[in-house]
Amino acid sequence: MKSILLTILLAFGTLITAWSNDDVIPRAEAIAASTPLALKATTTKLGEHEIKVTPLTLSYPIFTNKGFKSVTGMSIAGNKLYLMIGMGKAIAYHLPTPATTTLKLDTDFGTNGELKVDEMNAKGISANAQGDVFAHGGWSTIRYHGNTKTEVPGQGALHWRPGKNYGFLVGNNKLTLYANGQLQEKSITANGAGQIGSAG
Amino acid sequence: MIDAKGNTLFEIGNKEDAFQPDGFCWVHAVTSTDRVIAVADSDCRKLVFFTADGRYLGTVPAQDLGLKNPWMPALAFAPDGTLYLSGEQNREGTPVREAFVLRIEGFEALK
Repeated sequence: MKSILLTILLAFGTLITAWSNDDVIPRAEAIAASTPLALKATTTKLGEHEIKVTPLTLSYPIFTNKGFKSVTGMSIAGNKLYLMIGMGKAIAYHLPTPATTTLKLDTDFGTNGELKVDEMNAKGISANAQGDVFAHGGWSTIRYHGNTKTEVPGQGALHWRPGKNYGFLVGNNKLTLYANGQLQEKSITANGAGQIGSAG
Repeated sequence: MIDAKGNTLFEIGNKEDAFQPDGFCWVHAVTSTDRVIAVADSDCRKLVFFTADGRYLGTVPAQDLGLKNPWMPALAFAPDGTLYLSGEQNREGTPVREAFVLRIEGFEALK
């Protein structure tokens, strides 16, 4: 029985480790042989209102093979746009001015613009203008600031309020205030509204 | 939407039929300003908009954004009210998936 379990565990481990960068990221020749998306600027209607849609050029493009996610989360803080991408990595771009359309990689972020987060399952990202970047998976959030990282206590995803000096840890059907670098005692629990969840 | 005491103020989305324009097949991302709530529903390939007090404003199918069968898990408003949408879609006829970011403007006129 033990040997069967060991075999299953080994097979499962092999399966997991088989997902390497080579599997997730297409080979250079496959990218070169494919046709870029070439999205076009357009206008469309939202009810009676017109909205303008502009595709931005990524100076640091992101590719994955079918079956793997290229982008799992995004946050905007200050003049930066942060993306959580596959394989536990986050990147940052400088936001373009309204007259320009290129997202330029922020090479000061992480290592040459790419931050390796500890949790491979991290899918969400939230940032603030003070340079804090919060990477969260389903149950935990890690705060990165420059070269330091700290685990946010408690379970859940930390969402910073854009333009504010606080955020909320969302988990266990409640919102807990996070400010001054730590969780506060104030929290909100939904009364009959169903489960408080976390999207994005 | 709940208040600071956890009481429900209002709910958004068509609870009877996810396939209606104001329904959600799944909420993959949500973001808001003090005027607008935006929801990305990748399963049904659409963005759905509401006023900050919960009134349905409209739905924008992904194809109206110039996309073709995209995955759209990331949505964020910038402080100036510009909306950014990120996701990915396949390069035509290949398994290569390319990430995109769209800048969406025009929400200042919404009331």
